[in-house]
Order: sequence, then structure tokens, then C-alpha cells
Amino acid sequence: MKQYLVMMIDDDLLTIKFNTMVVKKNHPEAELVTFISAQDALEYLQTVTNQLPDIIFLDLNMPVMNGWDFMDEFKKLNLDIEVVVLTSSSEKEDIDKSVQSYGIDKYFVKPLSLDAVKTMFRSIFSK
Amino acid sequence: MTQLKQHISSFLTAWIDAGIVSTDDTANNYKLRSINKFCLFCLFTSSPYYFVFYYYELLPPFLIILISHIFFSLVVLLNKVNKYSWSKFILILTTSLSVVSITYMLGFDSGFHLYLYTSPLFIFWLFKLEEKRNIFIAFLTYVLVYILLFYFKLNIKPLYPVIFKIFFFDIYSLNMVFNLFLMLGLFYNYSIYYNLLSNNLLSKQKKLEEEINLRIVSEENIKKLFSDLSKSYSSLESFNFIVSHNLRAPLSNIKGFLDMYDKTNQDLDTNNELIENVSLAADNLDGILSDLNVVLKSRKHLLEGKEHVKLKDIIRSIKISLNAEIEKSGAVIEEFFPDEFTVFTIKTLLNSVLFNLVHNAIKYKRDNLSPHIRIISHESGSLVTLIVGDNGQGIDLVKYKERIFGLYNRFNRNIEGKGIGLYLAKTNLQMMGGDISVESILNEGTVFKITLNKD
Repeated sequence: MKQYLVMMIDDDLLTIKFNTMVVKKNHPEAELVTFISAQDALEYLQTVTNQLPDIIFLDLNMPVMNGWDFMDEFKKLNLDIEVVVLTSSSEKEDIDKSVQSYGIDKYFVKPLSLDAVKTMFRSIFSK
Repeated sequence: MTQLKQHISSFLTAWIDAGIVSTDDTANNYKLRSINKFCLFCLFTSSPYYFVFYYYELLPPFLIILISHIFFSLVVLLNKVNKYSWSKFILILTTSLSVVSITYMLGFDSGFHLYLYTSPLFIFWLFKLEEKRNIFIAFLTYVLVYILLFYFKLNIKPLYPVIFKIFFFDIYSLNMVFNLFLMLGLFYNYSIYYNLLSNNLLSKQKKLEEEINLRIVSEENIKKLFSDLSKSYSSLESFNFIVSHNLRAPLSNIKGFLDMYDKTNQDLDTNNELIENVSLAADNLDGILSDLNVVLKSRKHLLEGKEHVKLKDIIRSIKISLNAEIEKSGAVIEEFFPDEFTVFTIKTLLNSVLFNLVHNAIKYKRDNLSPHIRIISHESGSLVTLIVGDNGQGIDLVKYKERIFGLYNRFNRNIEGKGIGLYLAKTNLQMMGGDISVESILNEGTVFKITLNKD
């Protein structure tokens, strides 16, 4: 079992692939479980029996179930998992909502350069 | 010297043109000018005769001065066509009052000397009053003259008595006649002037009313234009945002993968994966560009003029285009509008909006239930409403109401689609001055309501 289990929810497959490659290369201690649909991710969280993720990277703009919908359902599960928003939206509204309504204090705006992604993961895994 | 000549001539012209408000009425103007010339003549020639009044004690001295000033003021008052006549009039009135009061207090000699000495200055400044500075200087001159008069009042002596006594008899009767004409002329002049002015005012008022009506109409047009423009602008702005936003993601992906590429690393698997991903991102970019091209192409149709389009024709062409889908799904399209029902719109755009709605109704049908689509028209006031209702899956509007008309917003993963149709429908309708709204119940159906301006 790896030290870290990271869940990544993003409808953009390329973002997921990119982040996966960065994590694999730089953080062998971490393992990624990725979803391109928030619904699937939620189902996973509801049914998972073994290791729960330590951290969730969440996109906001997704079809069908968006980030906020996911957060509403996720809260009901009452799981102690940190959520980090990784979204292309830099709208103040979204930033305020994530901080005020959901208590999320890590908010990253896509697209991030390679260095920025590396720094982001480093800051999260070094805790 | 030439300046003095100019002043004198402009003074005379102003006097002669007193009361003339319109340049069209030449006969009337000629009459007015003749009367003015006569009054002017009377006033100038009669002035000296006021001495006679004084020397034979027919009127108190201050009244004599007052009368002459009243005549002078009246003429200037009639000369109101001139832009600054009010200020001139007030200036004359105040100085007249000063002269009269001084005459009353210090005697005729001082008052009349004051009048004589200051008149040239007064006339000189009168026609240069366009500048505030000159009014100030004119007043200062008066103040200075008053002070001097007070100082030298004991030394001033009557200048003319002997001369006028000689001609007393003739001059006195002549003066009476002149003054009578002068007064009659001025009053007649004023009545003509007043009539002209009120006629002028009436026609001006009419013109103004017409202008106001025109302005109200054009203001409404401007408001409409402005709201159309701001709609177009906000639509353009959001389009701009969408373009930059959507293009950035795949581009930065490509850049990210390329940054990850390490020449020295001989790990073929990683490099192959990187190349694969770059090509995937490029495909993505290509897809987005072609989508944006679709959006731009449809915007181009906005330049086409509006025309009266038969709704029936549009629906027929949609049915032909979707023939295969309709047959396959067993869809029924019912038309609830008169055969001759027309809409004033850009044909291509309304066609694409309705096509999208009908196509969606078929695509998002409920399992094991043939689509049943109703197209209804409704007119009220200046608005035309088109309703497209179906019995399909419905949309969870509590969740998606705000996003349903956004670009790349999709609510069903199982059915192929890009999330462009409703975005185009909304933005194109808004740019045409219309709008689209949606009502829906899950597993019951969806109703789209299009509103358009009648003209």
C-alpha cells in the first residue's frame, strides 16, 4: 500500500494524464485514482472498502455533475478527506464559494505549467 | 477713429432695427425701420428742448431727465433681438435712476451735466457689452464721474440757457409735436414687435413640440439599439472568454507534455506516452477550433437581413433534414399554428434554432417511448412566441438551469453531443433581439419557449 492515495476528478482527460505523469515521476510514494465523471467518483467513495483517498483534486466545470454538486453529495458522506480545487475558473464567485460554503482553502487555476504542477504536488505531499 | 465710427454706426443700426425679429417679412420690416428712424430723429432733436421745460419751470428738473431716459430705455428694450439687450437695458435703467436721483438731490445743473458727460461713454460702452469686463468698466466710469460731480458740484454752471431762450417759442411747440410722434411711434413699434414675437413664439413652440416628439421616438430607438448592442457586446465578450478559455487548456497541455519530455531519458514508454498525449491534445485543439468555427459561421448569418418566413416552411425543411432520425425513433411532430403563420426573422438562424430543439427532442427521448413533439405559435402585443415541447427525458432544472444554455455544457454522457446547440440558440436569438427559455420536468418532458419581436 502506497503512502498517499490521491483522487483526481476532472472531465478533461488530458489534465488527468498530465497530472498522473507528473505524480508518477516525482512522487513514487503516491498513487492516483482518477475519474472523468464526478458521479463515478462519488460512487467509488460510497462503495470503497479498503483505503480511502487522502486528498481529492476536484474540477468545478464538469458536465452532468459539476464540482459543487459533487461537494454537496460528498459532505453527506462525512468523510475526513481534504479537497483541493483544480479548475479553469478564476471567477471570484467560485473562489469565494469554495472557501465560504465548503471550507476549501486550496484553489488552483488551470492551466498550470509543468513547474506549477510540480510545486503544487510538492506542497501537498510534503505535509 | 474708425472704431468710434463703427460704434456709432452699430448704435444707429441697432436702434433702427429695434423690434425686427424676422428677416422674411420685408414689407413689415421696412415699416418698422421707418418708424424707428423717425423716433431716433425725434429723440435726438428733442433732447435739447428739455432745457426749455426746465427754464420755464414747466416740469421739475428730475422729471425732465427721467422722461428722456425712459425714452432711451424703451428703444433699447425694443431692441431685444440683440443678444445682450437685457443687460444693456438694466444698465441704462440703473444709471438713469442714479442720474435722476442726483438731479433731484443736487439740482438740475449737476444732474444734467452728469447726463451730458456720461452719455458718450455710455453709448460707447453700450455696444461693447458682449464682454463682462466692459460692463464693469462702464460702471466704474459712472462711479468716477459721480465722485467728480460731488466734488465739483459748486463749480458747475448752466451751459445753455441764453441760446435756447432766443428760440423759445418755436422750439417749444416743435418739441411738443416731436415728442408726441416719438411716443406714438415707440408704442406702435412695440405693438408690432410684440405681435411678431408672440407669432414667432407660437410657431417656435409648435416646432419644439414636433421636435420633442421626434426626440422621444429617436430616444426609444436609441434605447433599443443600446440594449441590442449591449446584448451583442456581452455575447461577444462571453464568446471571447470562451475562446480564450477553451483554447488555453489544450495548448497548455501540449506545452506541459513537451516540458516533461526529457531528451536524455531513454525510457521509450514514457516518451511514447508523451507523444501520444501531445497528439491527443492537438486533436482536442482541432476539435475546439472547428466548434468555434461553427459558432462564428452561425454569427455570420446575423448579417443577413430579416424577412417574413413561413413557420410551416421551416418545419417542413427540418422534417426533411431529420427524416432518418424521425423514422428510426417513430417521432411525431404536431403543428399547432396557422398554415400562413409567418415570423419576421433571419431565416437561417431561426431554422437552426428550431432544428436543434427538434433534434434534441428526438435525441433525448425516453427509452421505449416514441418522441412526441408539439410546435405551438402564440402572438401577444409586439411579441411572437414559439413553443417546442416534447415528452422526453426532461432536464433537472434545479441543478442545470443556469448552465443549460452555456457552451460545452452537457447533461447526459450517454448520448453523443457537444453542448453547442443550445448555446448557439440562446446567443443568436439574443442578438436578434429575442430570447429563449426552458421549462422541464424529469421523465415528463421539456418545453422551450422562443420569443421574438414582431418587427
